[in-house]
Amino acid sequence: MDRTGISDEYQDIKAAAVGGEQFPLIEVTDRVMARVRDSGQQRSPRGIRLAGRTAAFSGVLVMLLLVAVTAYAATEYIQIRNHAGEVKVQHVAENPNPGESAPYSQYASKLMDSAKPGELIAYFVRGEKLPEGAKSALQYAGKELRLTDYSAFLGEMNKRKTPVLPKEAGGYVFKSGTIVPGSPSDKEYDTNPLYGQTLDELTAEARQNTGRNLFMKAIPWTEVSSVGAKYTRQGAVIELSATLMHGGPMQVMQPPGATAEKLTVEGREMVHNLVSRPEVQPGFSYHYLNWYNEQQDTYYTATTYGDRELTKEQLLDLVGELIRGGL
Amino acid sequence: MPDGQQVEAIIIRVQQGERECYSRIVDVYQQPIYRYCCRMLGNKQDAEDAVQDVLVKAYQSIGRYKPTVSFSAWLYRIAGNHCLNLLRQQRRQGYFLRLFRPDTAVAGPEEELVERLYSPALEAALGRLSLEERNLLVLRVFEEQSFPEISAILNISSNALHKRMERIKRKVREIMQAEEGISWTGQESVMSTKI
Repeated sequence: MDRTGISDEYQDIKAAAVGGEQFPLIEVTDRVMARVRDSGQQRSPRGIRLAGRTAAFSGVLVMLLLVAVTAYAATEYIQIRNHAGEVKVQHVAENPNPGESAPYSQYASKLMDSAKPGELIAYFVRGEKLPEGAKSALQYAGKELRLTDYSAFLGEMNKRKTPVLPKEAGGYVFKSGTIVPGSPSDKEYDTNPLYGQTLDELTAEARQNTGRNLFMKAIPWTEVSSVGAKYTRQGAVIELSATLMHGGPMQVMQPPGATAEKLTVEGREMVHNLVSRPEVQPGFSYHYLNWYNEQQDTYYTATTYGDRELTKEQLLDLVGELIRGGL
Repeated sequence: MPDGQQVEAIIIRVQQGERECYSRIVDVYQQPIYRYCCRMLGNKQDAEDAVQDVLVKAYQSIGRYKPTVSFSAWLYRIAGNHCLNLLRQQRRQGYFLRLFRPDTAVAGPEEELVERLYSPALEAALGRLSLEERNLLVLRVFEEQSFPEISAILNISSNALHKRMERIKRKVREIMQAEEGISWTGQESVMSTKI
């Protein structure tokens, strides 16, 4: 028997469970696509190449997810500057033709399958064209470390010298925290012999082993790409993410169909983003806040979702509290 | 919702490097995969994390997808492997018995009904199935997948699946009856109450 008659055959078991129509509607497209784009970046050689520069840490970090502006505002994309007047955060139009991902990217899932959480994998792929801007055939992929115990998460944040995300956010309780290893900075790459030695090791292995093309090794890491935390109150969720900019500016790619509004909270400039997705469900939308902490050189995102969402005012209040707490 | 052919056309574009087309795939599959992960993991918040992980993994492996099976079956296979890995990790970490815990402490019976995915008797039965048995039950009973579809997902013959499903069904009913002290057949459950 196939699909026909499933209801009758298993009616008693089905009746003992919540029906499919009773599950909450979720919307993770933007979060998934952000990770998809981000995984493309991690597979690039130490970041994004822009204006002739390698960009992971010395150049430009590109925040490919997130916001948009309304069409009328498209000519005046939002900027956030530091005290010296330098543009640190720049919203730009999303490239409608992102192009083909580097051949190296085809190997990322294999790397991630074999990597342990919190590991940075250095790898070399024989015979594949290097991503644009690559200085070396040695590439990197970091696997997120997720911790559900706050004291362990705090210990990792302190150990890695990242901004410290709090144990509680606006009455929401810590659920889990993540730390994503970052690729080495240009300076570290140039001064630490580890990377050259690792490439030599992997290419030597490749010469001896002609039966495969992917060679990899877990290496120590010092740079953090981002930290994040999830907080819950029953079915409602708050997420904070802190992207470490390591001295470079941030570009925020903006898909069409959303609005961005610049506001000031606790003397800090921030951007409120409202994204409408009527194609998911008529009237469906969500919103979040971004801000830049110059002292920490960190770009923050606060999102609200789940079975209850904070209003814009509540989210601004929450972020005000977080800023007063040091974020 | 796009039909199978339209989905395959989108997949080809993604495979050719049109990364942004993948958002359409996420739009289409996020809810069914979320529901499946909820059923497997027994926890809505873990499921919301899992559905994102599954869809990212699928993108990273999409170059290896070939339309010898439907994209849906391929995606359920990734989701199943992901959930089974999570459950095995949880088992190793010693909180397997709390597998079907509600997400959070709840205030009253109405909220409890919202949070709980299964009746206590079914929860007990699921807790005593092997992870592979649970996967088959969820795919067949709750996701209403046909045996040929499940065969494509699990790479097991339809004939073998029929036999396994019969055993699982019998086992679940026995445990449920023992837990509740009643026959569930034909009974209206509290879980069917509208919320």
